[in-house]
Amino acid sequence: MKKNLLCVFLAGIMSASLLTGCGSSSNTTGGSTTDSKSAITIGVKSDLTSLNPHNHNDTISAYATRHIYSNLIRLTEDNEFVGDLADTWEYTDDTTVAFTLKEGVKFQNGSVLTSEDVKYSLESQKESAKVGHLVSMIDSVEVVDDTHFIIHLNTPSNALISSLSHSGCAILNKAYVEEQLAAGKKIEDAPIGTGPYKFAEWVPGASFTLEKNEDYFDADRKAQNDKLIFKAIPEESARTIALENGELDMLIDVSTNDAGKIRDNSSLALDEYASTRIEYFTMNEEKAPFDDVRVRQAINHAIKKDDIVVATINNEGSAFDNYIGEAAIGYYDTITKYDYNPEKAKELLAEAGVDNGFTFTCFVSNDERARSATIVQANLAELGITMNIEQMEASTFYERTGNGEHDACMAGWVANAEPDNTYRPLFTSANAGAGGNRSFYKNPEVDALVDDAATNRDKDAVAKDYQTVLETISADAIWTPLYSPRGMVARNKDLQGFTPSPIMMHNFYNLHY
Amino acid sequence: MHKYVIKRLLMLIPVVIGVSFLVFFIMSLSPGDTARTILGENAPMEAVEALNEELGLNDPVLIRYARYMVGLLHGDLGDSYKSGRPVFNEVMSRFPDTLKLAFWGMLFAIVLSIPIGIISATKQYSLTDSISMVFALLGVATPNFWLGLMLIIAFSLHLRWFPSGGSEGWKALVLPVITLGTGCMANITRTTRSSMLEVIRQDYIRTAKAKGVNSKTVIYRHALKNALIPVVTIIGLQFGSLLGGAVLTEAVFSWPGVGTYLINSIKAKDTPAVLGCVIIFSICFSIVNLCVDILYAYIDPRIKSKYK
Amino acid sequence: MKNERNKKRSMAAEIWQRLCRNKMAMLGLAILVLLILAAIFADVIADYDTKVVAQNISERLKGPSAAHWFGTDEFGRDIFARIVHGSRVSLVVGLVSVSVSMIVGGSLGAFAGFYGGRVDNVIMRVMDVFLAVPSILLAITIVAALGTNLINVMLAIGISGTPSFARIVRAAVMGVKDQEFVESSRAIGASSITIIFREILPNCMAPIIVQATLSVASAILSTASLSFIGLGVQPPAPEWGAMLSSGRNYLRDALHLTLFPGLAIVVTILALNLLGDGLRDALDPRLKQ
Repeated sequence: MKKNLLCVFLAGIMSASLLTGCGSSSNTTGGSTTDSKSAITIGVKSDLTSLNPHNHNDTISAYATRHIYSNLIRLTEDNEFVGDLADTWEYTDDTTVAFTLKEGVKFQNGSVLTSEDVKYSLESQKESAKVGHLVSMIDSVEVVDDTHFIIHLNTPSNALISSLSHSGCAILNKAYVEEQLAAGKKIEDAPIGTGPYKFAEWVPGASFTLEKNEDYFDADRKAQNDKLIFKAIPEESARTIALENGELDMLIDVSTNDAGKIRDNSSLALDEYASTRIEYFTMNEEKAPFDDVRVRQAINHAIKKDDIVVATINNEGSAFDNYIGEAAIGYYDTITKYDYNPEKAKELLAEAGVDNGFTFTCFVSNDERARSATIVQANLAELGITMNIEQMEASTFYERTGNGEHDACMAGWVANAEPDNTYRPLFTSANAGAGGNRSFYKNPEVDALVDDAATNRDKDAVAKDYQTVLETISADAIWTPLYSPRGMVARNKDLQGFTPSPIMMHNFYNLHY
Repeated sequence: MHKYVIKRLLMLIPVVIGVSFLVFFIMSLSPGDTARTILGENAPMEAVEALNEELGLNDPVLIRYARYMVGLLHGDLGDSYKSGRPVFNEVMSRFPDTLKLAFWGMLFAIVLSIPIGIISATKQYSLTDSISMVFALLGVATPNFWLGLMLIIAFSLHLRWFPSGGSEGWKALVLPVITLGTGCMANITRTTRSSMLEVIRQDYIRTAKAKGVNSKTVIYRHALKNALIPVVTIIGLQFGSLLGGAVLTEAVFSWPGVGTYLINSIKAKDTPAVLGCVIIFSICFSIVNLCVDILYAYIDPRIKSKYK
Repeated sequence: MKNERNKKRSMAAEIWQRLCRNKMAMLGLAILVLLILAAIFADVIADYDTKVVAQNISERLKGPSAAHWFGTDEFGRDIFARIVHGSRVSLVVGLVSVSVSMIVGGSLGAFAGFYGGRVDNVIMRVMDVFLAVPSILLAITIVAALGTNLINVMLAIGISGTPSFARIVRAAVMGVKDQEFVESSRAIGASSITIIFREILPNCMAPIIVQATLSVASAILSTASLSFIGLGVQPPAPEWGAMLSSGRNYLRDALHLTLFPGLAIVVTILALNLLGDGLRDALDPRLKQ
């Protein structure tokens, strides 16, 4: 009823304005709907930053570059690494890997892929500030012939294969790029790759469009649609409304508050999957009283995670006790769990000698984390602990927590295909602060285990290393893990062919009506 | 007149230098890890350090400012930290959309508020006056982003008349224009009203009325023309705040303009991008003010003589 | 001396009478008085610890009812209680930040207008620079630089409102500085500062009062805008803008989360604008009928 009244009121304003103001602008016809169903429009939360694979490291830019370019290796939906441009590969020793390329793969400008292109791509990638670190273990690429090359490593590394599947390790066309650069142009002005799509158009801030590549080399993974149009819609509810209105065929980044509405809508479907994203509350172990393990354990017992799941993500996920996402490679269920138990928390605080409570400040960097912090604040208040919340821009947050100015903070993590990329930044001493370890937890034992897991070629030993790390840090209660949100992608229910990726590196080539 | 225009355009130089100085130092004073923001939470330390070095962020503030100013004097606004593309291109590719929004928003506001202001003035202290003023004031009293969301719910979701975002076609323009336009209705209405009131009481109007000239003719032929000067000023001033107001409106309607770009750049601490936006905004603002002053000369010939 | 005071009093009475004749201005004033009363007696109306910040997850997002007049928010807190307590925050932010702009901008404008020449030029060019930067940007960067808390928010909004006060006061000072009473006090050897603050400023209060009233309104809106991007008042303190911006996530299922704080803002700002317009009319001697 209230809503209807509002509509009538707004309609009044509207018709008044149509009569007076905007009637004059009706000379052009609006055409936002796509005429054929072979063009798929996908809603995302922001625009891409760059079409140069060496010049970005974000999910949305990767939606574009992963479809324009190909990698040597790709990760399947079942978390397996298989050859993409590479036909086969083999470790001849700990620091030498021999590759064979698939025959007759063509770039979108017609030239044939050779080992020289691989050498050029990987070696120029090392210069990139944004994705150079992915190939820091590569010493050089030795070209044997057009389809054979050898990667020499400067140190034994288990991360090579997973890194090669990262969007930053896309293979460029050497001759074309050198020509572009010589002409004073940039790679992103007209990207050319070997992927299932060709670059068509980019309207900065608004949208980017990819067109089907008819000559794509992999018949099994050929595009099932003619065009992919990605639209950037920053406001959450506006994104959902656009999907409901049929302006979008698919929506990535579904708002947790709108998920129910999409489920109830008979013309839409919601694909749910386990994502590797987790959210956690972390204390700065260099500051009293969080240097005392009993205080950290007490906080773990004091926080009511179920309330956070309800209030922060509207129940679209689950309370979480582990330190790495459940769907991630490198997840093991071998941790110490802390149930919600305020009595236990009080005892632990008394043992630690802070039963009279204390005051500290928690830094947060976005609205969702501010909501979680508000619940934690109320939970801790029951134990006589005063937690102040300070919300800030992400850039400020990174700088100040990197300097260790925080007593505690809210953070999150999305694990990717390489466990080392999660364990090393979050738990090792070298990365305390700006590197990602915002708990400032420093344990030489954990450091050694992470180092071993990165280079040991025995899979069982690696698994044992990671399990021990998880056991140690959970016993030390270095964080309070809070929850893991459900991965959700919404689409028109007639749209077929979508398989979600737990690390959010979705593929769209198979979408069709 | 030409001399005056040239002098005013030259005055832009100190303003641009002042603005760049102010914004540059505020941006450098505020803590923020630019490289980390660009690379995201997951990037390893070596990448962050490499990017900071590549962007020259490890150098002292004064050196960075000097480097920026050298570029600026050559007409180069620098490259965006985030995308690596020239800021000038980034801003200019988005500018037409923002200008379009601001123009139609302003037109919307003018077309509604000048008549309301005139009606209010001619019927001062009547019920019509009160209702008109409350209507105009509601515009300024309603938070921009809130109104935008309400409009989306009503017209996009329930009635399905207009799209909820984007910038293709005139339909996409309607809701953002209303949202933005209502915000500056109040000031224009208010100024029209008070300046009409003032003019109406002046002797020559009374004389014209006494002579038996039709009162509508008096208002539209004689009074309005003289009442317009302050209205034109306020429209010029409002244009600046309109560009500012576009920031939130653009965010709500996913309008791919400079406002959204500015907010994202501030969040990422992309200093060259922020500076570029602000410098172009302020030049635009100054030029609009100059146009306002030139318009005066045409409305009021007495002022024209001053420019000679 | 006594005569002069009487004269002033009768002038004030006259202005008050003119204001009383303006029904809309009186409506605005009445709303503001109610709001101030609500802010003063907030603790009597609803207890802060048990109603405003205490969470009750099982009662979250409930619509308006007898127990919760305006419904509950995403943490199950009573929205009516939060709006009543929020009036304190809004009024404090409005008053303090406008005082900052008025004192800083007013003094700068007064000096510029009084001394003219080079002083005027330097001050006003600096003000031009500030005016050329969108005020929301200025506020965001200042808050980001100083850290997010209530005091910095007020400071940031205060600073970004400074140039408009400087302009208005300067114009007003220039209008009165050559008048007789200024000349005469200069003749008896009063210092410039005394002349500015004792003689000139009291005689150009009208535009300052009007601008101040309207600025309180825009300060409240700016706070809401800062909260919209997460840089406003920090949780769990109730602030209308912050309530509005956190409620926007629930706009479609629980409209009351944004509707009531939104209305609180609209009504307050409307009242301030009505009063400001009324004051402008009442203080303007040319509009005497």
